[in-house]
Amino acid sequence: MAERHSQPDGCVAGSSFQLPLGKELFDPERLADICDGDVQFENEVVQMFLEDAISHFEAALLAVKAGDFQRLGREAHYLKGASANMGAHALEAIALDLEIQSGQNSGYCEQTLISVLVNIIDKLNRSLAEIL
Amino acid sequence: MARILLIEDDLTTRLILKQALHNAGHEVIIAENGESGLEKAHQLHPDLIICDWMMPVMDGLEVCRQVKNHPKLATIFFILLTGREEIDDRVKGLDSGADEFLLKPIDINELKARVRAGLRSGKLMQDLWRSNQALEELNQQLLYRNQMLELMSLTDQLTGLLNRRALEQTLPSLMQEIRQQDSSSRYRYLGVFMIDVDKFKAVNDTYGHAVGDCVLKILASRLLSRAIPNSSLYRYGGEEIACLSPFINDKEAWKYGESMRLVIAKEPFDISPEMSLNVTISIGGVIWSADYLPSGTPTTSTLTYAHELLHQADIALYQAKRDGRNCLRITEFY
Repeated sequence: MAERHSQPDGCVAGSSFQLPLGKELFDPERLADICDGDVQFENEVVQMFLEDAISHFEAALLAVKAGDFQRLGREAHYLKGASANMGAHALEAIALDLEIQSGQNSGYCEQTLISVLVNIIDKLNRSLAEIL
Repeated sequence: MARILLIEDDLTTRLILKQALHNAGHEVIIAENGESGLEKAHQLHPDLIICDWMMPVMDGLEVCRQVKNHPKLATIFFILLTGREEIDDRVKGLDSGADEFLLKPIDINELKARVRAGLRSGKLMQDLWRSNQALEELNQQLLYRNQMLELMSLTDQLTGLLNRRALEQTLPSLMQEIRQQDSSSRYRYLGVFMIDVDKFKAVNDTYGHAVGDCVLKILASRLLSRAIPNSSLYRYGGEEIACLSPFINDKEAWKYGESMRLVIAKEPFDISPEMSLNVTISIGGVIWSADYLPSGTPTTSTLTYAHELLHQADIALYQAKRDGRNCLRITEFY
């Protein structure tokens, strides 16, 4: 996911990361495959995925703010599977990293995680707006 | 068209799989978690279940275990969706009863192929289960018929009492049973009574066999009404009835014998509203004690003792007849 820079206090800061917008987020071949080439259904699925992903990233954000890393792990696991299924590989990598961080509970400081999650939610919202 | 239950918490995966299965011509039932999926499996009995492994509330492994442990659901083909590729995970899945795995991210063509294969296999399993059920039912019927035949072969049709065959089966085993009880046991004595209707031939000759049969039925019914716990009555042949009963001592045997005699003699038999008959019985009894059968006596010898016991009861009965009928004579086994 994001590039990480070690900070003096041991916290790692996430810098800007590359998350394509709109339909670029998805592997087109995978999308066509899972939607059986049905373009209308494809749009419906993409929209539903983005809405669902936003709600789960928001839940992950709340979990970080509450210090509930178990919940963060569950949300990250869900997002990892859902993204993989949609061929959203960049998002899958972010979710995987979040799942790993939730286990370690110390790699990123809370502020870094919040910043990463806020960025992702923003980008996903922009993607959704583009598609709509 | 098959009925497929899809249990998946991921919204988009659910939507995609539902559409793919629907396009393949199947009816798709959706459940968003394991608990709800299990409930729908019970309610709707699908042909195939596709279930995600990692889910909140109840995971796919537990759903699979519960489905496969339920007799009515066990034959449903179960496909577990998983991102886990480790051998240990697969072993866990197979141990829970899963029939097939599908790795995530799911390949739709593979999904369709696995569903087709699963439905074929599931149909065979269900056919087999139905055949087994039918065989099981048939087996139960045969068992029931055998029991009925066995019962009929041991029962006297006219009186409803057990018959001579039953007596010959029971007496030796009852003797063995009493012998095997330890010396502190209450029931160390066995009373064998032979009961004969006095002047029964005259009843048949005077009133006909129908009245004779009626007398035997009433006789059996009155003796049964007076029977003490653990005693049993057998129609030994003709108008002769045998009675076996374990006793605490020989006085008990006298008391029981007398009570049988009195229950017959005390009131006339109502054959019809217009016809009553005074009936009496003679009883010959023999008291056998467990001490008469040495320990280690083989079953074949017990049989000889049993015949001797019946013979001695018969002799006592003849004595009762000679002493004027309507009386009880009891001897000790010798």
